[in-house]
Amino acid sequence: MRAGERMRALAAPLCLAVVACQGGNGDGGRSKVESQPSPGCTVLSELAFPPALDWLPARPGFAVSASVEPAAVQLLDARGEAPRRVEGVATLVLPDDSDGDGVAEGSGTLPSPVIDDVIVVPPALVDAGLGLITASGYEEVIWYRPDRGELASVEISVDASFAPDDFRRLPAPGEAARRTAVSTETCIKPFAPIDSTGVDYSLGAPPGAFCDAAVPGSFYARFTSGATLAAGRLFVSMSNLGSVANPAAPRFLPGAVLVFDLDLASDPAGVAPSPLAPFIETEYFNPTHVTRVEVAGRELVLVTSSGAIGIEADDPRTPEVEQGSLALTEGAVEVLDAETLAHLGSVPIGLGALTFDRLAVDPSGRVAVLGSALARELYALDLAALGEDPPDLAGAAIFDAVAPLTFAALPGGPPLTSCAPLVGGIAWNDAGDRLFVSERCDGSLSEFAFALIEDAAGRVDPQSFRWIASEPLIAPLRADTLGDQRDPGRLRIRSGRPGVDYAGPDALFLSSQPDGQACALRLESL
Amino acid sequence: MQAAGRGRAALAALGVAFAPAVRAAADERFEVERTTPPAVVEDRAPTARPEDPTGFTHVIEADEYAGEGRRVEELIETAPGVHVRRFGGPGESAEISIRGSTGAQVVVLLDGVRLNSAQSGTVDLATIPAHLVERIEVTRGGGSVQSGSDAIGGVVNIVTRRASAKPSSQASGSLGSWDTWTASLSQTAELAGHELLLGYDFFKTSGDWDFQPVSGVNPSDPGTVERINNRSEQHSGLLKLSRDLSERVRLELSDSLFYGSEGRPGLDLDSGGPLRGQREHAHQRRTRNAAQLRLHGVEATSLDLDWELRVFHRFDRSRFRDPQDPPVDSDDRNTALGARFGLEHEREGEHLGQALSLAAELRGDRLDPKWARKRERRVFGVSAQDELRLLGDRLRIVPALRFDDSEGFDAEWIPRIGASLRLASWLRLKGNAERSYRVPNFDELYLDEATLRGDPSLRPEDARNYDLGFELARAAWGPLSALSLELVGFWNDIDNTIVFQQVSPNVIKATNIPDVRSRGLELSGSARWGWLAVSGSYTRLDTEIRRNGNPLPGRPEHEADLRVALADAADRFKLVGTLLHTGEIPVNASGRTFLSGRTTFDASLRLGLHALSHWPERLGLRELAFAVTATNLTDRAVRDALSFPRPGRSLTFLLEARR
Repeated sequence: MRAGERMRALAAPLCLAVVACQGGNGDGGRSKVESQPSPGCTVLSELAFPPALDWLPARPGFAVSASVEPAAVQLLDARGEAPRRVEGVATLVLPDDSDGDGVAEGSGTLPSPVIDDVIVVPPALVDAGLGLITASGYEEVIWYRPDRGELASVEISVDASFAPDDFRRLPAPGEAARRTAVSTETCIKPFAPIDSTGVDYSLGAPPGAFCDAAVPGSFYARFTSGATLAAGRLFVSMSNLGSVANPAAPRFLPGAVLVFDLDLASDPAGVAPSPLAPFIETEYFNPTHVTRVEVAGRELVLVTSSGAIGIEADDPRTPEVEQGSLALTEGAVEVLDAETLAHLGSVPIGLGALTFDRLAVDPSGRVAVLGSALARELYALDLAALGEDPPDLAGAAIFDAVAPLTFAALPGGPPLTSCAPLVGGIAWNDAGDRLFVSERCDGSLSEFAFALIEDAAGRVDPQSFRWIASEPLIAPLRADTLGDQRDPGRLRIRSGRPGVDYAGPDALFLSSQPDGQACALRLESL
Repeated sequence: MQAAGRGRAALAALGVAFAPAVRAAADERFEVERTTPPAVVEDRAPTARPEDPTGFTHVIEADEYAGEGRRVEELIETAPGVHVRRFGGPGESAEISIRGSTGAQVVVLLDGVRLNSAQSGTVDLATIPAHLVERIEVTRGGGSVQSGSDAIGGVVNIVTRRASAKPSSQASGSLGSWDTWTASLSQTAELAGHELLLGYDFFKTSGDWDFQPVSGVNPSDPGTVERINNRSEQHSGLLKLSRDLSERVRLELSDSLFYGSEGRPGLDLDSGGPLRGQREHAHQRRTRNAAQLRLHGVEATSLDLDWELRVFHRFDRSRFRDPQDPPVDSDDRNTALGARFGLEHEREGEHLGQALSLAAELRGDRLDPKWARKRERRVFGVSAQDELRLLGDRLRIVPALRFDDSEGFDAEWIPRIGASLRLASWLRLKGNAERSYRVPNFDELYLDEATLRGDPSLRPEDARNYDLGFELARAAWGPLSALSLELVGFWNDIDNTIVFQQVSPNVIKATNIPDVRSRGLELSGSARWGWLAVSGSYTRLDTEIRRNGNPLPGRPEHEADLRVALADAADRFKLVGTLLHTGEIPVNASGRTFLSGRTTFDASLRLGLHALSHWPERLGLRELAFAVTATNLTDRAVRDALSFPRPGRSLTFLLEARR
């Protein structure tokens, strides 16, 4: 073979090789991340800030928790010294099409859902175990079976009386469709288009900016936060954060609670925006959760309206780096009648920057407690005041931002200038005589005793609460604790008598750094 | 005196062109034959930093990797003690870590011009065109005496190709997987009495390789995901002019230019839809120009001084846009302007030889961001080093001291002591103890992006560096030739390490963390046996946050590389196989979460067509070679630097020519 023929013979397969060898894809072996948990814990995600934790009442000793990345919910067996994933029940990772409408989220103009909370519906309301996953970005409430780790189907219908643009991602009015989530992108038509900075945001808006052209300032709800079932309905709080161009002064649009009628007796369950009131506008900004309570035989939905919250801008004139939360508008607990959908009024809390968990209601149903996102402060309501007709809203607050229930910082924690305090989790014990509170900056767990004392008006006297102790739970948020387990979040105490009804740890809490973990805790169990 | 100096500056090339040259500066064990006689000026003039006879320096000669399609970061990671963090595939960012350092703790010089910006402190090695590089010197250990602030991990000096009056041309081109192209041209010639080098380098890729999700837990997981928005196009230019102004004075001008336009898909997620959270439209454009005027002379005055004056200027511009919510739009310009003056004096006595070096440097750094306040900082440094040669040059003791003053911080005295003991003609023991430090960069001090904050009250990082090791080198030993072996233990204690971490529920902030330690072992060696050349290195690294014993994230505990080259002396062919093993990499500071370790294999075959046939010679080509390179032969899924995905198996075809 001559040289030229040799070269041509060599060139042919090379040319094919160039075309064919577009490269591999890593099929030769997967790179993976492996984690070992802290003692007494299980790792939920290598990334920080797991958002959710709740017990599964239908399965004592089992709980559900969630991670943001991956967007997943897992069932945990918390009967042992450390919670563990349940064998045979898969971690539910949200699929690309989380609501089953045939269109994958997370591509093009559709954002992906970011899990905000997981709410386990009490078995008294629903026979089969049911969980609700609230997600923002792609706004929705996802239905799932926690004990199976599967999405659950629902039949979503929209009454023909609604306008075509009232619900951006639900079936058209008069139609129904089977989905695994209900979209919360409801067209909110506020009474007045005033945002949290006091500005009429409808002025100067471009054509087509409003979801209802006839209602200036109407907008599609966003930032799904909390959810609850009450009176055969689903209530979903929508924070409606508008612009964060200036984080020190974000602009919240009017808040809302969405209302869906439920038919839980059908299979699959039926969900439909309530023709009576598809949404209820809140009086205060930034509704971050909803809690069902039963007071004087009446089902109420209490809405935690946290108020507009910003992040402190650094003041270059001071050596410290200011970085705390700013309460820009007042917060309140708003009262809705779950039957009539009437907004009964609000219990003002003040400039407290209320935290985003549901209310911690004591087992007797008398007291509801919530925390602050900028101070070591607790606020509380006497629910008996809400059971009166009309509700005694002015007399319902036991502690508010003017006169809060406080607890001191642990020694050795970070200075205020480094970490502005934030209540992580609040929980009552099963007997209702102890209240436990975690705080994120110093990593502490505080214990309060509660013994009901009523004042002359029959309201819960603040003296009913007595601080007992504050102790380190995990490491404080200091620069030198990098790598330590720190930043405690949600706290949940198991129902039942520890040591009598069950033997294992009586509480679970979430820690957010350096990775997201769920951890067991013995508070009163031995 | 001149012979000693020439020997000290000589390349300790091991054999010919097929094994990486392990050069111990100031070692006279191996002779080198030059093709052109060196100018007296070149042999004697001080280099960009005082010679470091006791430091552990690994020299990589780029030509020895001809035909392997290596990028600069791939060349650098062959050095012991070095870990390269990559943020994707070819063309995507890569930064160096030496002995567990951060990227900002390594000073990277391009022909003596510092590339580290005062804004971020890191240098993207992917912006340096390998085809225009002649050699890379990687010095491990504290280098603050020579280089001032930042050199806690070490110093990398990248030397580009030399200007020459002798006309020569080099050209190369390649085509590879994922539509990856490169082209490079360089020309040397005489121009109006100057030695000239003109070079150009081009790189382009569509970068649309597939990769596997990290955990594969998503039920919608198709098995692989496409890397989107990953196109990259880079252009680099190099101009060098030099001439002898007199018999003892030489003038050099160099200018290197870089422009890059790259998509930035970011990290992928397990969730985040079919695109797995990759950013579809994020895009970055970067421009850099580094220019230097160098004047150096030898045997000046009756004191027989060698001297050097450098004036340098560097400009960087980085524009980043991402319209995806939340939108990002930044445009940062960094400028550095400075000058350095150095003196060196040598004398040899009957019992004592001495080389005294003095240097002074003044530099101004400036950051001009589009949406924030301008920042400036002036840095002044003076250093002195005295190399004492005793016992017939068997023992060298090198004390050194630097005074460094960075505007806004306390002035620092940086001491260093090094020693080198020649135990036998082929065995040397070396060790160093030194202090090094790093002032916070502008991002760490002044970043103000709502949830991401700098802290103006940050303290400089402060380190104590120690190393001790053996160097063995034998020209021949039994059937082996060019044998070298190096074993070094090192220990670094660093106070006030600067780390961005979440220290409040709302904000991630730059913080000082106390007491970080890194220690380990470096083993490297090379040898030849006829046509076969073998080289490799192994690094064992333990990093520790002293308070809780947790490792620092991003630093693998074990890293090893092995290179086997089979080549004939007539340059007809060269077959190379390489192995790179990287152990588990901690993902965060918990000490409990790791990226799995991996081993990858590369291979290349280079055919010297000029040696196989006469037709290249008929075309006037001195050299013509064709090569094919395969990387990641086993198609291993690799993730690096906080879990950025990297491509699988790839193939590249190269053609190189010289005349």
